[in-house]
Amino acid sequence: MKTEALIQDLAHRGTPVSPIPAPRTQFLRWMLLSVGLVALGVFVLGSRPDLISAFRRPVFVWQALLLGALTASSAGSALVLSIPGRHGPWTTRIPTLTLLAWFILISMTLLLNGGLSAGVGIRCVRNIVALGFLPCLTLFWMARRAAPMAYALVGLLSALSASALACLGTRFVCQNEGMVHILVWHCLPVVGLGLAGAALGRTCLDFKPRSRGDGVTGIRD
Amino acid sequence: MRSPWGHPLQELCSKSCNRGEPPDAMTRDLDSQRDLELAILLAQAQKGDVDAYERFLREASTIARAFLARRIESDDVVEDVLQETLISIHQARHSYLPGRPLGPWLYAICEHRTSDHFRRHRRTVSREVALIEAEALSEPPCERGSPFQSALAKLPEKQRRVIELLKVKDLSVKEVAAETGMSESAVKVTAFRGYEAMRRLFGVGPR
Repeated sequence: MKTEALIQDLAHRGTPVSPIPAPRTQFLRWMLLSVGLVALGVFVLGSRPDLISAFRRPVFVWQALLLGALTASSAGSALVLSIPGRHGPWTTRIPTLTLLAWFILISMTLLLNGGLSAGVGIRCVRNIVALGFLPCLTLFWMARRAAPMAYALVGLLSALSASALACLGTRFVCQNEGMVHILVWHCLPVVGLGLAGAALGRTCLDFKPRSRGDGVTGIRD
Repeated sequence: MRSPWGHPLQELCSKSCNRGEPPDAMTRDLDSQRDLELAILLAQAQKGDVDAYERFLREASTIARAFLARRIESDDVVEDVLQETLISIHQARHSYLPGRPLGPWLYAICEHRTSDHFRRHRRTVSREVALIEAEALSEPPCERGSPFQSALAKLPEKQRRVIELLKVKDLSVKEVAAETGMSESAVKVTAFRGYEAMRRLFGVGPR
Protein backbone atom coordinates (compact mmCIF):
# COMPACT_ATOMS: atom_id res chain seq x y z
CA MET A 1 0.00 0.00 0.00
CA LYS A 2 1.23 3.47 -0.84
CA THR A 3 1.80 5.94 1.98
CA GLU A 4 -0.47 8.42 0.23
CA ALA A 5 -3.34 5.94 0.25
CA LEU A 6 -2.66 5.16 3.89
CA ILE A 7 -2.85 8.85 4.80
CA GLN A 8 -6.20 9.20 3.06
CA ASP A 9 -7.48 6.02 4.67
CA LEU A 10 -6.39 7.11 8.15
CA ALA A 11 -7.78 10.62 7.64
CA HIS A 12 -11.19 9.17 6.84
CA ARG A 13 -10.99 7.07 9.98
CA GLY A 14 -10.24 10.16 12.03
CA THR A 15 -13.33 10.04 14.21
CA PRO A 16 -13.49 12.58 17.08
CA VAL A 17 -11.44 11.58 20.09
CA SER A 18 -11.24 13.14 23.54
CA PRO A 19 -7.71 14.03 24.53
CA ILE A 20 -6.71 12.19 27.69
CA PRO A 21 -6.67 14.27 30.87
CA ALA A 22 -3.38 15.92 31.85
CA PRO A 23 -1.09 13.71 33.97
CA ARG A 24 -1.63 16.00 36.97
CA THR A 25 -5.41 15.46 36.84
CA GLN A 26 -4.99 11.73 36.38
CA PHE A 27 -2.52 11.62 39.25
CA LEU A 28 -4.90 13.40 41.63
CA ARG A 29 -7.75 11.11 40.63
CA TRP A 30 -5.61 8.03 41.14
CA MET A 31 -4.28 9.21 44.49
CA LEU A 32 -7.77 9.98 45.79
CA LEU A 33 -9.12 6.63 44.67
CA SER A 34 -6.13 4.59 45.82
CA VAL A 35 -5.69 6.24 49.20
CA GLY A 36 -9.42 5.72 49.76
CA LEU A 37 -9.20 2.06 48.77
CA VAL A 38 -6.16 1.39 50.94
CA ALA A 39 -7.71 3.24 53.89
CA LEU A 40 -10.82 1.08 53.48
CA GLY A 41 -8.62 -2.02 53.30
CA VAL A 42 -6.79 -1.04 56.49
CA PHE A 43 -10.15 -0.47 58.18
CA VAL A 44 -11.37 -3.91 57.09
CA LEU A 45 -8.13 -5.64 58.12
CA GLY A 46 -8.05 -3.76 61.41
CA SER A 47 -5.38 -1.20 62.24
CA ARG A 48 -2.71 -2.04 64.82
CA PRO A 49 -3.69 -1.09 68.39
CA ASP A 50 -0.45 0.87 68.96
CA LEU A 51 -0.81 3.06 65.88
CA ILE A 52 -0.84 6.34 67.82
CA SER A 53 2.33 5.47 69.71
CA ALA A 54 3.96 4.24 66.47
CA PHE A 55 3.61 7.75 65.08
CA ARG A 56 5.75 9.02 67.96
CA ARG A 57 8.70 6.97 66.65
CA PRO A 58 10.78 8.90 64.09
CA VAL A 59 11.73 5.74 62.15
CA PHE A 60 8.07 4.84 61.63
CA VAL A 61 7.22 8.40 60.56
CA TRP A 62 10.18 8.55 58.14
CA GLN A 63 9.22 5.19 56.67
CA ALA A 64 5.66 6.37 56.18
CA LEU A 65 6.86 9.59 54.54
CA LEU A 66 9.26 7.76 52.22
CA LEU A 67 6.62 5.22 51.24
CA GLY A 68 4.22 8.08 50.53
CA ALA A 69 6.88 9.82 48.45
CA LEU A 70 7.64 6.59 46.58
CA THR A 71 3.93 6.11 45.85
CA ALA A 72 3.47 9.66 44.59
CA SER A 73 6.68 9.89 42.56
CA SER A 74 6.24 6.48 40.90
CA ALA A 75 2.60 7.09 40.03
CA GLY A 76 3.36 10.56 38.69
CA SER A 77 6.24 9.24 36.61
CA ALA A 78 4.18 6.34 35.24
CA LEU A 79 1.42 8.71 34.14
CA VAL A 80 3.84 11.23 32.61
CA LEU A 81 5.77 8.50 30.78
CA SER A 82 2.51 7.19 29.31
CA ILE A 83 2.36 10.26 27.08
CA PRO A 84 4.76 10.26 24.10
CA GLY A 85 7.53 12.82 24.39
CA ARG A 86 6.85 13.62 28.05
CA HIS A 87 9.86 12.43 29.98
CA GLY A 88 12.70 13.91 31.92
CA PRO A 89 15.49 12.66 34.13
CA TRP A 90 13.31 13.18 37.23
CA THR A 91 10.80 10.58 36.01
CA THR A 92 13.15 7.79 36.99
CA ARG A 93 15.54 9.52 39.38
CA ILE A 94 13.04 10.58 42.06
CA PRO A 95 11.41 7.13 42.48
CA THR A 96 14.86 5.47 42.47
CA LEU A 97 16.23 7.88 45.08
CA THR A 98 13.14 7.49 47.27
CA LEU A 99 13.37 3.69 47.10
CA LEU A 100 17.07 3.86 47.93
CA ALA A 101 16.40 6.23 50.84
CA TRP A 102 13.82 3.76 52.23
CA PHE A 103 16.32 0.88 52.00
CA ILE A 104 19.05 2.99 53.59
CA LEU A 105 16.73 4.01 56.45
CA ILE A 106 15.83 0.39 57.18
CA SER A 107 19.43 -0.83 56.84
CA MET A 108 20.79 1.93 59.08
CA THR A 109 18.14 1.28 61.72
CA LEU A 110 18.93 -2.42 61.52
CA LEU A 111 22.67 -1.78 61.96
CA LEU A 112 22.17 0.64 64.83
CA ASN A 113 19.38 -1.12 66.73
CA GLY A 114 19.88 -4.78 65.78
CA GLY A 115 16.88 -7.10 65.93
CA LEU A 116 17.62 -9.93 63.50
CA SER A 117 14.39 -11.91 63.92
CA ALA A 118 12.41 -11.72 60.70
CA GLY A 119 9.37 -13.58 62.02
CA VAL A 120 6.82 -15.01 59.64
CA GLY A 121 5.28 -12.38 57.43
CA ILE A 122 3.22 -14.25 54.85
CA ARG A 123 0.24 -12.31 56.11
CA CYS A 124 2.06 -9.03 55.41
CA VAL A 125 2.80 -10.11 51.83
CA ARG A 126 -0.82 -11.14 51.38
CA ASN A 127 -1.94 -7.75 52.72
CA ILE A 128 0.41 -5.88 50.38
CA VAL A 129 -0.89 -7.82 47.38
CA ALA A 130 -4.53 -7.43 48.44
CA LEU A 131 -4.28 -3.72 49.22
CA GLY A 132 -2.25 -2.93 46.11
CA PHE A 133 -4.25 -4.94 43.59
CA LEU A 134 -6.95 -2.41 42.71
CA PRO A 135 -4.66 0.67 42.75
CA CYS A 136 -2.25 -1.21 40.47
CA LEU A 137 -5.01 -2.27 38.12
CA THR A 138 -6.31 1.31 37.96
CA LEU A 139 -2.88 2.75 37.21
CA PHE A 140 -2.25 0.16 34.48
CA TRP A 141 -5.61 1.04 32.98
CA MET A 142 -4.82 4.78 33.07
CA ALA A 143 -1.41 4.21 31.47
CA ARG A 144 -2.92 1.90 28.84
CA ARG A 145 -5.48 4.55 27.91
CA ALA A 146 -2.65 6.89 26.91
CA ALA A 147 0.15 5.69 24.63
CA PRO A 148 3.00 4.37 26.77
CA MET A 149 6.16 3.60 24.85
CA ALA A 150 8.49 2.47 27.64
CA TYR A 151 6.21 -0.44 28.53
CA ALA A 152 8.41 -2.15 31.09
CA LEU A 153 9.32 1.08 32.86
CA VAL A 154 5.71 2.26 33.04
CA GLY A 155 4.69 -1.21 34.28
CA LEU A 156 7.44 -1.18 36.89
CA LEU A 157 6.58 2.31 38.15
CA SER A 158 2.84 1.53 38.25
CA ALA A 159 3.33 -1.66 40.26
CA LEU A 160 5.96 -0.02 42.48
CA SER A 161 3.63 2.85 43.25
CA ALA A 162 0.67 0.64 44.10
CA SER A 163 2.76 -1.77 46.17
CA ALA A 164 4.44 1.09 48.08
CA LEU A 165 1.02 2.46 48.96
CA ALA A 166 -0.11 -1.02 49.95
CA CYS A 167 3.05 -1.42 52.04
CA LEU A 168 2.24 1.86 53.79
CA GLY A 169 -1.23 0.49 54.52
CA THR A 170 0.33 -2.74 55.81
CA ARG A 171 2.57 -0.75 58.18
CA PHE A 172 -0.66 0.48 59.81
CA VAL A 173 -1.79 -3.14 60.24
CA CYS A 174 1.42 -5.05 61.07
CA GLN A 175 2.74 -4.58 64.62
CA ASN A 176 6.12 -6.15 63.99
CA GLU A 177 8.71 -3.34 64.11
CA GLY A 178 11.72 -5.64 63.58
CA MET A 179 13.78 -4.21 60.74
CA VAL A 180 14.63 -7.65 59.32
CA HIS A 181 10.91 -8.38 59.21
CA ILE A 182 10.29 -5.11 57.39
CA LEU A 183 13.19 -5.72 55.04
CA VAL A 184 12.17 -9.31 54.18
CA TRP A 185 8.38 -9.17 54.34
CA HIS A 186 7.68 -5.55 53.37
CA CYS A 187 10.55 -4.22 51.24
CA LEU A 188 11.28 -7.28 49.14
CA PRO A 189 7.62 -7.85 48.17
CA VAL A 190 7.43 -4.20 47.05
CA VAL A 191 10.50 -4.65 44.85
CA GLY A 192 9.28 -8.07 43.65
CA LEU A 193 5.87 -6.70 42.73
CA GLY A 194 7.55 -3.83 40.92
CA LEU A 195 9.58 -6.28 38.83
CA ALA A 196 6.46 -8.34 38.16
CA GLY A 197 4.82 -5.10 37.00
CA ALA A 198 7.71 -4.54 34.59
CA ALA A 199 7.18 -8.00 33.09
CA LEU A 200 3.43 -7.44 32.92
CA GLY A 201 3.94 -4.01 31.35
CA ARG A 202 5.82 -5.57 28.46
CA THR A 203 2.73 -7.53 27.48
CA CYS A 204 -0.16 -5.38 28.76
CA LEU A 205 1.07 -1.94 27.77
CA ASP A 206 2.65 -2.84 24.44
CA PHE A 207 1.80 -0.01 22.06
CA LYS A 208 2.15 -1.51 18.61
CA PRO A 209 0.29 -0.63 15.45
CA ARG A 210 -2.00 -3.41 14.39
CA SER A 211 -0.99 -4.97 11.08
CA ARG A 212 -1.81 -2.73 8.18
CA GLY A 213 -3.70 -5.56 6.52
CA ASP A 214 -5.50 -6.46 9.68
CA GLY A 215 -7.97 -3.88 10.68
CA VAL A 216 -6.69 -0.34 10.98
CA THR A 217 -6.79 0.47 7.34
CA GLY A 218 -8.48 -2.55 5.87
CA ILE A 219 -6.04 -2.28 2.95
CA ARG A 220 -2.99 -4.45 2.86
CA ASP A 221 0.44 -3.12 2.07
CA MET B 1 -17.26 16.85 10.32
CA ARG B 2 -15.47 19.44 8.20
CA SER B 3 -14.53 22.95 9.25
CA PRO B 4 -14.08 26.03 7.12
CA TRP B 5 -10.47 27.13 6.66
CA GLY B 6 -10.91 30.78 7.42
CA HIS B 7 -8.56 31.32 10.36
CA PRO B 8 -5.30 33.15 9.51
CA LEU B 9 -3.28 30.47 11.27
CA GLN B 10 -5.02 27.81 9.22
CA GLU B 11 -4.27 29.63 5.97
CA LEU B 12 -0.68 29.93 7.06
CA CYS B 13 -0.75 26.26 7.77
CA SER B 14 -2.16 25.33 4.38
CA LYS B 15 0.72 27.24 2.75
CA SER B 16 3.25 25.45 4.90
CA CYS B 17 1.64 22.10 4.10
CA ASN B 18 2.26 22.69 0.44
CA ARG B 19 5.84 23.74 1.05
CA GLY B 20 6.98 20.18 1.57
CA GLU B 21 10.20 21.33 3.21
CA PRO B 22 11.63 18.69 5.48
CA PRO B 23 12.67 20.04 8.88
CA ASP B 24 16.04 19.38 10.38
CA ALA B 25 15.70 15.68 10.99
CA MET B 26 18.30 15.51 13.70
CA THR B 27 16.60 17.97 16.05
CA ARG B 28 13.78 16.76 18.26
CA ASP B 29 11.86 20.03 18.21
CA LEU B 30 10.09 21.70 15.35
CA ASP B 31 10.44 25.43 14.91
CA SER B 32 7.80 27.16 16.98
CA GLN B 33 5.75 28.34 13.98
CA ARG B 34 5.53 24.89 12.46
CA ASP B 35 4.90 23.31 15.83
CA LEU B 36 1.98 25.65 16.39
CA GLU B 37 0.53 24.96 12.94
CA LEU B 38 0.71 21.22 13.43
CA ALA B 39 -0.65 21.47 16.97
CA ILE B 40 -3.68 23.37 15.68
CA LEU B 41 -4.26 20.80 12.96
CA LEU B 42 -4.05 17.89 15.39
CA ALA B 43 -6.33 19.63 17.89
CA GLN B 44 -8.87 20.05 15.08
CA ALA B 45 -8.35 16.45 14.02
CA GLN B 46 -9.13 15.33 17.57
CA LYS B 47 -12.49 17.05 17.14
CA GLY B 48 -13.13 15.04 13.98
CA ASP B 49 -12.04 17.48 11.26
CA VAL B 50 -11.09 15.17 8.38
CA ASP B 51 -9.39 17.88 6.28
CA ALA B 52 -7.27 19.06 9.18
CA TYR B 53 -6.33 15.49 9.97
CA GLU B 54 -5.29 14.75 6.39
CA ARG B 55 -3.13 17.90 6.31
CA PHE B 56 -1.65 16.98 9.65
CA LEU B 57 -0.79 13.46 8.49
CA ARG B 58 0.85 14.80 5.32
CA GLU B 59 2.99 17.21 7.31
CA ALA B 60 3.78 14.57 9.90
CA SER B 61 4.78 12.11 7.19
CA THR B 62 7.23 14.66 5.73
CA ILE B 63 8.82 15.17 9.14
CA ALA B 64 8.81 11.47 9.99
CA ARG B 65 10.28 10.50 6.60
CA ALA B 66 13.20 12.89 7.10
CA PHE B 67 13.70 11.55 10.63
CA LEU B 68 13.65 7.91 9.47
CA ALA B 69 15.80 8.50 6.39
CA ARG B 70 18.64 9.65 8.64
CA ARG B 71 18.50 6.39 10.57
CA ILE B 72 17.49 3.74 8.03
CA GLU B 73 19.36 3.16 4.79
CA SER B 74 16.86 1.44 2.52
CA ASP B 75 14.14 3.67 1.07
CA ASP B 76 11.68 0.77 1.00
CA VAL B 77 12.23 0.12 4.69
CA VAL B 78 11.85 3.83 5.42
CA GLU B 79 8.45 3.78 3.72
CA ASP B 80 7.49 0.67 5.64
CA VAL B 81 8.46 2.15 9.02
CA LEU B 82 6.87 5.45 8.00
CA GLN B 83 3.54 3.70 7.45
CA GLU B 84 3.80 2.04 10.85
CA THR B 85 4.62 5.43 12.36
CA LEU B 86 1.55 6.97 10.76
CA ILE B 87 -0.64 4.19 12.13
CA SER B 88 0.89 4.74 15.57
CA ILE B 89 0.18 8.46 15.29
CA HIS B 90 -3.40 7.60 14.38
CA GLN B 91 -3.77 5.25 17.33
CA ALA B 92 -2.13 7.68 19.76
CA ARG B 93 -3.76 10.89 18.55
CA HIS B 94 -5.87 11.11 21.71
CA SER B 95 -2.67 11.22 23.80
CA TYR B 96 -1.62 14.62 22.44
CA LEU B 97 -2.61 17.29 24.95
CA PRO B 98 -3.70 20.47 23.13
CA GLY B 99 -1.57 23.41 24.16
CA ARG B 100 1.60 21.34 24.55
CA PRO B 101 4.45 21.41 21.99
CA LEU B 102 3.81 18.85 19.29
CA GLY B 103 7.42 18.17 18.24
CA PRO B 104 8.42 16.02 21.22
CA TRP B 105 5.18 14.01 20.92
CA LEU B 106 5.71 13.38 17.22
CA TYR B 107 9.42 12.57 17.48
CA ALA B 108 8.81 10.23 20.42
CA ILE B 109 6.48 8.15 18.25
CA CYS B 110 8.98 8.21 15.34
CA GLU B 111 11.77 7.16 17.67
CA HIS B 112 9.67 4.40 19.17
CA ARG B 113 8.79 2.94 15.78
CA THR B 114 12.42 3.15 14.68
CA SER B 115 13.63 1.27 17.77
CA ASP B 116 10.89 -1.28 17.25
CA HIS B 117 12.03 -1.74 13.65
CA PHE B 118 15.65 -2.31 14.65
CA ARG B 119 14.59 -4.73 17.39
CA ARG B 120 12.52 -6.75 14.91
CA HIS B 121 15.30 -6.56 12.34
CA ARG B 122 17.84 -8.02 14.78
CA ARG B 123 15.45 -10.85 15.66
CA THR B 124 14.71 -11.60 11.99
CA VAL B 125 18.38 -11.62 11.04
CA SER B 126 19.21 -14.07 13.83
CA ARG B 127 16.38 -16.37 12.74
CA GLU B 128 17.31 -16.15 9.08
CA VAL B 129 20.89 -17.07 9.85
CA ALA B 130 19.67 -20.06 11.84
CA LEU B 131 17.45 -21.13 8.94
CA ILE B 132 20.22 -20.78 6.38
CA GLU B 133 22.52 -22.86 8.58
CA ALA B 134 19.81 -25.51 8.97
CA GLU B 135 19.32 -25.63 5.21
CA ALA B 136 23.03 -25.95 4.61
CA LEU B 137 23.04 -29.04 6.77
CA SER B 138 20.10 -30.65 4.97
CA GLU B 139 19.72 -31.65 1.33
CA PRO B 140 21.40 -29.48 -1.33
CA PRO B 141 19.15 -26.67 -2.62
CA CYS B 142 19.40 -27.80 -6.25
CA GLU B 143 17.39 -30.94 -5.43
CA ARG B 144 14.19 -29.09 -4.55
CA GLY B 145 12.26 -25.92 -5.32
CA SER B 146 12.39 -22.75 -3.25
CA PRO B 147 11.71 -23.37 0.46
CA PHE B 148 8.68 -21.08 0.24
CA GLN B 149 7.15 -23.00 -2.66
CA SER B 150 7.76 -26.39 -1.08
CA ALA B 151 6.30 -25.23 2.26
CA LEU B 152 3.34 -23.72 0.44
CA ALA B 153 2.72 -26.99 -1.40
CA LYS B 154 2.34 -28.80 1.92
CA LEU B 155 -0.48 -26.54 3.10
CA PRO B 156 -4.18 -27.44 2.81
CA GLU B 157 -5.78 -26.22 -0.42
CA LYS B 158 -7.72 -23.35 1.14
CA GLN B 159 -4.73 -21.90 3.03
CA ARG B 160 -2.45 -22.34 0.01
CA ARG B 161 -4.85 -20.49 -2.26
CA VAL B 162 -5.31 -17.57 0.16
CA ILE B 163 -1.57 -17.16 0.73
CA GLU B 164 -0.83 -17.42 -2.99
CA LEU B 165 -3.36 -14.69 -3.73
CA LEU B 166 -2.09 -12.46 -0.90
CA LYS B 167 1.63 -12.94 -1.23
CA VAL B 168 2.30 -14.19 -4.76
CA LYS B 169 -0.39 -12.33 -6.71
CA ASP B 170 -0.16 -9.41 -4.25
CA LEU B 171 -3.92 -8.94 -3.90
CA SER B 172 -5.50 -7.10 -0.99
CA VAL B 173 -7.59 -8.84 1.66
CA LYS B 174 -10.70 -7.35 0.11
CA GLU B 175 -9.76 -8.63 -3.35
CA VAL B 176 -8.93 -12.09 -2.03
CA ALA B 177 -12.29 -12.17 -0.26
CA ALA B 178 -14.02 -11.30 -3.55
CA GLU B 179 -11.96 -13.85 -5.46
CA THR B 180 -12.54 -16.74 -3.07
CA GLY B 181 -16.05 -15.86 -1.95
CA MET B 182 -14.92 -15.78 1.67
CA SER B 183 -15.49 -12.97 4.15
CA GLU B 184 -12.56 -10.63 4.86
CA SER B 185 -12.30 -11.98 8.42
CA ALA B 186 -12.23 -15.54 7.12
CA VAL B 187 -9.43 -14.60 4.69
CA LYS B 188 -7.39 -13.11 7.54
CA VAL B 189 -7.96 -16.12 9.78
CA THR B 190 -7.10 -18.59 6.99
CA ALA B 191 -3.97 -16.62 6.08
CA PHE B 192 -2.93 -16.47 9.73
CA ARG B 193 -3.32 -20.23 10.10
CA GLY B 194 -1.38 -20.75 6.89
CA TYR B 195 1.46 -18.51 8.10
CA GLU B 196 1.58 -20.39 11.39
CA ALA B 197 1.66 -23.74 9.54
CA MET B 198 4.50 -22.45 7.34
CA ARG B 199 6.39 -21.22 10.37
CA ARG B 200 6.09 -24.70 11.85
CA LEU B 201 7.35 -26.21 8.59
CA PHE B 202 10.36 -23.88 8.77
CA GLY B 203 10.93 -24.98 12.33
CA VAL B 204 10.15 -21.54 13.75
CA GLY B 205 7.86 -21.42 16.80
CA PRO B 206 4.54 -19.53 16.76
CA ARG B 207 4.70 -15.77 17.33
